[in-house]
Amino acid sequence: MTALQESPVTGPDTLLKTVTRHYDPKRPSTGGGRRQGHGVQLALRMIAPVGLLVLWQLSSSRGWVDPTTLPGPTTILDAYRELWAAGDLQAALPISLQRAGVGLLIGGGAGLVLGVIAGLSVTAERVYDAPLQMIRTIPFIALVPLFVVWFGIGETSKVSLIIGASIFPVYLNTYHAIRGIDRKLLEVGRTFDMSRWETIRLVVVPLAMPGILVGWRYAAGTALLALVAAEQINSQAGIGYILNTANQFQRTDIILAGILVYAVLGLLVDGVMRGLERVLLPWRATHDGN
Amino acid sequence: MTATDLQHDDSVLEDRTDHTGEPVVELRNLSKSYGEQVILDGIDLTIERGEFVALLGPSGTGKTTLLRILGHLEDATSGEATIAQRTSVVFQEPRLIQAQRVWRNVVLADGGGAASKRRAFAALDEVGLQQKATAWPKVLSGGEAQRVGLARALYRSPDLLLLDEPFGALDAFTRRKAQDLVLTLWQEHQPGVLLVTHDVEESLLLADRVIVLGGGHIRADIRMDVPRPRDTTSVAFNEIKREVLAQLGHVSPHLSVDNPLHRDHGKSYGTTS
Repeated sequence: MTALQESPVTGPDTLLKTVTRHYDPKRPSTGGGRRQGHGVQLALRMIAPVGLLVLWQLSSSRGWVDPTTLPGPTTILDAYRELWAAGDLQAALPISLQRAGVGLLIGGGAGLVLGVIAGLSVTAERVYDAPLQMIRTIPFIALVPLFVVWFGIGETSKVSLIIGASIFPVYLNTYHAIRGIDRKLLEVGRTFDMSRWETIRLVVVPLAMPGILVGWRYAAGTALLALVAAEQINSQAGIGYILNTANQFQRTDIILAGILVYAVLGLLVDGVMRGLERVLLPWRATHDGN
Repeated sequence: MTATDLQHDDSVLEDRTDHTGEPVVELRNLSKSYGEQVILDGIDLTIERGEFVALLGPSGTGKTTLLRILGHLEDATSGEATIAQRTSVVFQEPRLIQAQRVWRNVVLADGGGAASKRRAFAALDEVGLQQKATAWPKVLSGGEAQRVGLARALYRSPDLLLLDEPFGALDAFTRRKAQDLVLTLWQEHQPGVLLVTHDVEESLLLADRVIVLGGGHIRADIRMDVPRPRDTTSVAFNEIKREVLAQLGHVSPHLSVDNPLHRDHGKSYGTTS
């Protein structure tokens, strides 16, 4: 593991204690996991998930757990095959994705606009920041019954819930990102005769972009959460519909299959947001972007 | 700047040495106060194009305030100020926009077309940083970032160049190189320069005139006639240095002569605003 051979000092007459280090370029240097190859890293990361999967499969095939409580991974794969063959999954996925996507775009867009304006204008902040902060403290799931009364049990109430859940992460992060910009940099704009719009375009937005993207990433997460909550309301289509139906027929395998779809969606959304950050924030990379 | 000007590489950055002598700063009875506190009290000052003026004074005497008024960053309370429209500032910190590439930081709002890019590259070439033009600011060293700040100021072909302690954060060696660079650029483009500094030797090394500010007034306006390059060990240099130090000593009697500014009532060195 270490390239160092430390030789303790043995001379009894030495008053000064020293440690001599011998560096050998042929031996790998210290640094633990950092210097591990990608293959080794990946293998280490896979140990826990693969181990859990094997344990899960064993527990069901050996009959340690009642299969109606927790069906094994192979049973869930069969459930996917069943859902796919019946066309349920293909029908449900686009509907759920559309609900989450539309809600996220409208809610996040509104949060972005409100956040940018509040970040730039003290007047705007005074007008609507306090009420927004108050509404923000309400857990959005508590609004489900109210939204059903207001918008019925159709698409409107579902998308509205997702909109409401996605506004605040984007609003808050955008507002704080803009307020966090060093005033000295805004002065540069004044010194070099930039118009207000040029300052926003060239200084404010690029520098606030990391914070804005964090807001969108959070919003995407909450949009998915809101999707799950919204789809519990008498769904006639979507992943939630599959879950509700499976619930009525006590099909634990299909319920688990549906939950895993939500999980994969969450991972995908996070991956997309990370990709966006890499594309939009090249200046934050460790190396020169050339 | 028309398109034909860009035909020749040498003329990419405008040079208007023929206007030397015209006043780029004219202050008449200029005052600035924050509430009860008077920072500048009846300042009269003229700086001509091509003139290199250094502004000295202990912390809190309004050096930076004066520079900020000249840079259109602050308004004076009373008096009259006529200032060249084309004014560039180099700040104490580089103040680069991390989210923009180096050459974009030089261009700023002046469009992103091929002509402005060439001008930016020419300005970066003058400060010896053309090879970093497309890099991100975060890869620059402190000295390099400050030189980009200089290129950004130069890009505008300023009639008045304001330098707010631009070398304060640099190590001694880098500072000397940056001082030489400023001198070269000034001699080439001949803007009026106002350099705010704490460093007596720096002001005497670079400037034609050294102005000592104290108590809101101009305490001294000393002409520095020693020809460049200046020898800091020469008799003439040290005579003027003694005079300036005496003027600074007049501002605060507690200053010791060998190292006057470090005893500035315990005030921090960098905070002048």
